Amino acid sequence: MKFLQWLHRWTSLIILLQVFLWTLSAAWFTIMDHDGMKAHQYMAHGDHSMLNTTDMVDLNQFEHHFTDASLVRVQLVDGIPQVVVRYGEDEYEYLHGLTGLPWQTGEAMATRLAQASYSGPGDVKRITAIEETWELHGWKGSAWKVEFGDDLNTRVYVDENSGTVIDHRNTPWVISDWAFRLHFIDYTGGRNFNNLVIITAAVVTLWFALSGLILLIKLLGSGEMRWSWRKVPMRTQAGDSEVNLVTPKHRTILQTLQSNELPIGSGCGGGGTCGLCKVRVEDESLPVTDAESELLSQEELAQGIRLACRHKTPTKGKVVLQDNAARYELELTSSRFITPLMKELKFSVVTDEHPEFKAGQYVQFLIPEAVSRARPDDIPEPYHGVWESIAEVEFEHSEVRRNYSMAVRPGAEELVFNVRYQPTADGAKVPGVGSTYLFNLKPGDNVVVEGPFGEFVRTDNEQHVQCFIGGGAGMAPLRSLIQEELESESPRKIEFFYGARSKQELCYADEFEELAEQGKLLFTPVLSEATSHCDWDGPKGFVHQTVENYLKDVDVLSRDYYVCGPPAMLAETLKLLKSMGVPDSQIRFDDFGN
Amino acid sequence: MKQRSGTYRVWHRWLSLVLGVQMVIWAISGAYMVIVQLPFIHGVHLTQESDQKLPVNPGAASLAEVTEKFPHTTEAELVNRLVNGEYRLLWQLRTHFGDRLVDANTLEPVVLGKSDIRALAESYYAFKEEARITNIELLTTEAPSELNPAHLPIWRIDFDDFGRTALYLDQTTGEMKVRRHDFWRGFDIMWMLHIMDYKDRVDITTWWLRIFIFGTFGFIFTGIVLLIQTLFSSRRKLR
Repeated sequence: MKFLQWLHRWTSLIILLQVFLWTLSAAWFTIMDHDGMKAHQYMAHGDHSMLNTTDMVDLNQFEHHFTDASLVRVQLVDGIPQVVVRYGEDEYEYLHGLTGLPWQTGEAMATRLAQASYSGPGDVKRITAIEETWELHGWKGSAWKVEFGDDLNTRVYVDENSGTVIDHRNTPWVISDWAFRLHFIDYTGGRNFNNLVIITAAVVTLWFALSGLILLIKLLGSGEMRWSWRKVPMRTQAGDSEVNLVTPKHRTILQTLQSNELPIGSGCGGGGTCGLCKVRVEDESLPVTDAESELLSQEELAQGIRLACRHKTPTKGKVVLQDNAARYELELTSSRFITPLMKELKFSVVTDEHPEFKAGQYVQFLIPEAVSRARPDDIPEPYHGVWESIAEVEFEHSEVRRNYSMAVRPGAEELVFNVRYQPTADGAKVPGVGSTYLFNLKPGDNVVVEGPFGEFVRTDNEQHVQCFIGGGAGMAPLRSLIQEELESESPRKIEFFYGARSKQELCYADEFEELAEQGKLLFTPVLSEATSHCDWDGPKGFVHQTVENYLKDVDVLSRDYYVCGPPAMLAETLKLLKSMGVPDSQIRFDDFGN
Repeated sequence: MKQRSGTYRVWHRWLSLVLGVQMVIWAISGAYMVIVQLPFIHGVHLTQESDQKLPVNPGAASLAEVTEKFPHTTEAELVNRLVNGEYRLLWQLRTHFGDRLVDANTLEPVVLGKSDIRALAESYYAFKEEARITNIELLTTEAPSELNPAHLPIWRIDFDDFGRTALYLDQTTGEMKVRRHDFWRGFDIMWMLHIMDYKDRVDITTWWLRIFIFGTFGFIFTGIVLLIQTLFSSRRKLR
């Protein structure tokens, strides 16, 4: 699809001008019609006088001319019988029927012939003898050009050798002739539309048009262009307020909610794969789709919970939003690198109301359609090496929605997020759209978010140790959860295992080490790629291995576990906890931290 | 962060649904007409001259006799044409009452029968050895879509060959007036699609053709805007 778009674009660049010229000349043709293009506006019908053979030389006297002749024709020209002898298929000799001598068309006769072929309002203005003219392509010989004083500047060409009216010409004809040159790409005036240039252009255009058609069909197939004029109401309940939305019938519940700026979680943009756009629909007849039986629990389905992206606007019943979410406008106050590929973004809330969220929840950033630079301009000196391989390009992207967890406790003055730069993945053309856009934000820039969403929140098991296990950008929700726990009236015991590749990637290490020194928590950073020349005396390897060793000597079941990090780390850790017999109710995880 | 191309993209997509489809049709029909050479379409290769050269001493009746017997003649042509298995010298006359074919000496009318038409058609046909005529038919009231009804009445002779050639010979004079074969018929359909006159295939001034042409300007415009935007935004910068 991307390749086809690219090809469509570049072909268009090559063929654009000609397509325009084709359209332009076609516009002229459709306005002028056939007659106008031929300069036949003032052409009179042919002369049909009866042959007058009086005084005519007996045909047998022309005998010597008939050798090799295939046809002899006798016709009237200017009232005089003319003998036309054809040799082969298209060679002609013209003879005077009264004298037997070669035909001659004089000025006076040419004028009479021109007038006889003319039905317009003008009079003869000028007569010129000519030997050649570009207005008669392919004609050779001597001719009279008889010009008439009319609105179209008509001129009539009369062949001297035969007395034939070769053709009429006028001003619209000249324009038409140029239109033909443009349309046939034949600038010789020969109107040959089988030339090599136009064949090439035709093949390129054919490919261009077909690539457009394929793109269109794919687009139609993707459902992006569905349309219906019919609008239907959709009763929607958000929190305590109920609104009646009016929406085109073809839209999904998710599209309707999003276009009405009603906040709803979504990670995959309506693809039915993330399971986040949960709503409760008060319509028992609503079927359960495959995606829903896979992503929603039996209890949820029984309660009427459905995925908003899987259903078109319901005809009856009410749609109840599950989260107390809203739309907020944020303004960036600071943006700094905390690891070579991760930034900490701080925002103040522009909207009057401050979002009320629980630690561990996320908001959805509405990344607008924009042109973004793959490489921001504020990369600190020490990280230049890491960024060297990332090409300095600009690329265009469409609107997307991206989820980021708050990296700060609820109630804090500013909202903090950790954004990890997503480099161009294998097979992709451009780096991650959301992260690139956010990396380029400057203090003072505004962005719109919706939320909060998510169930990655603290448990209420009072006696349990709170064990946080994370890696990479999984830091964000864990930091928020830990801060909230420490702020609570009687904080539970906290253990925090955090994995990174190198010391450089160990974000917020100072902050947690200070908390550890104050005895507020146990902090265990783990490095997977610690090198010998790096002064690291902490645990090495993957974080789940360290956790495994640690859990061997403690009571595994008296803990609540919070896991968030890169997919591999998350999977390994969950596997470990399961193998140790930790019940699901004591494990919470979030796989949107990366 | 810079300009939004969304509106133009939406317009381009929706216009393509209507205009783009016709553009594909224009491209396909145009490519056919451009690639297949016009003389071939006209079937020049399918036929040859059938009349023979005139004898050196024609010894025909004088024109005065001709115009005396057929006073409404406007044009008289002397031809040497295959009739009844031999070449005969004939006057072919254009008169106010249509064409006439008469013996050049006796000025007696010559009427062409079905066998004459068959012989003439075979003689016009360029691949004589392989001439397999499948059908000879005199059309008097109804013309097929490939024939201008002004030619009626006319003989239609069908050949069993690659392009299903059909020759149309004038009923009175036996002159070959029209040649058709499948590539011409294909061209005719392409022409119909190109000018969007699906009925008579001649009118290039229909209101819908005009709407499509002028709509195409708008379609091209949205495309240009998109092209400029993407070209200037995705250009690779040199380090």
